[in-house]
Amino acid sequence: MHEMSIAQNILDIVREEMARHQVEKIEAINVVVGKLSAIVPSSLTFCYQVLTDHTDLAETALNVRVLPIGYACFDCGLRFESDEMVFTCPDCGADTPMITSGRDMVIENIVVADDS
Amino acid sequence: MEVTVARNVLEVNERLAGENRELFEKHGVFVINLMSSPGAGKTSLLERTIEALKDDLAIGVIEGDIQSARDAERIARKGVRAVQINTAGACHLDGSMIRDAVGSFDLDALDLLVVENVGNLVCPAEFNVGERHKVMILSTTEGDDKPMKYPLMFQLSTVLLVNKIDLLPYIDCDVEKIKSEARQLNPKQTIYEVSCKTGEGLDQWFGWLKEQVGKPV
Repeated sequence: MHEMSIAQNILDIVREEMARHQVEKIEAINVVVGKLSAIVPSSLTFCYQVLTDHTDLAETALNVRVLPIGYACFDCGLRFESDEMVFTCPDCGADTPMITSGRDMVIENIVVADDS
Repeated sequence: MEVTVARNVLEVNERLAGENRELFEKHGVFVINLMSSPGAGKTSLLERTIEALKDDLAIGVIEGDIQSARDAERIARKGVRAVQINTAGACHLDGSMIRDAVGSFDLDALDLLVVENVGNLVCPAEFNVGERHKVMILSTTEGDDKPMKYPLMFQLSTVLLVNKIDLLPYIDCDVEKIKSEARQLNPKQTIYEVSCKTGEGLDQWFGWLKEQVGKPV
């Protein structure tokens, strides 16, 4: 949800980083979001395009990668991942493995043209 | 060439929420973020809570709605200071809104501050405001299939109040199903079955609050 305000947050951070690294032109922004953050990638890239239209970032791609939910079983210690909600450990059958990741929204990096 | 950024997209809100939380803890104020769908009973719960506890605890309320001061007026009629935030469109409260509202309270004079969030079972769960605990209400009239449809709020709420149990004879709602699915999502969640209309079950909620307010951080 809130893909528009999230796209704006991404842009604000990216512009800060561009100024910090003294970069004027970037080719792409790589973002990872956890499955539980309920971000719809196509909606996020659409909002990003709306915000960057007719600006210097209009040609820059926003790449959104969705990570599966990370789990750890309280009983047997198994760590595993799934795209779905999992309520039973696939190894020992214990109830409700702990969710260790899945809500993150991180800007991994920006891609700068090699000649700039 | 990739230039590493490694920054959390919501870092601004997380920082503000963290600052709010430190401020509350410094002044010894216990803060809860109260969330639910519209009409599930947040304001009614607060009215009942104030009636029962205002001689024991100094209470303040921050009300969040898209428009109107109706909820703050209801709370003020109970003799408690209420500040109304109108988001004019935003479907949840966030750290910056709470930071701006907090200036209206003398935090040293407060034991309990309740942030009554905008009625919405989705978005408020995603935005910390500086609270110690999230508390949510699901009313029996909303249906017993809701936990699995809105997992995040159930996962993050320390307490779930199942409200409007007085209406159970008139509707199809399996409260045990709500409880067992909520516990799958959040095994440590405390669940109370209540009716803000009849008062049934509310003593447990008042007891939880009083116990929490007294606890060191």
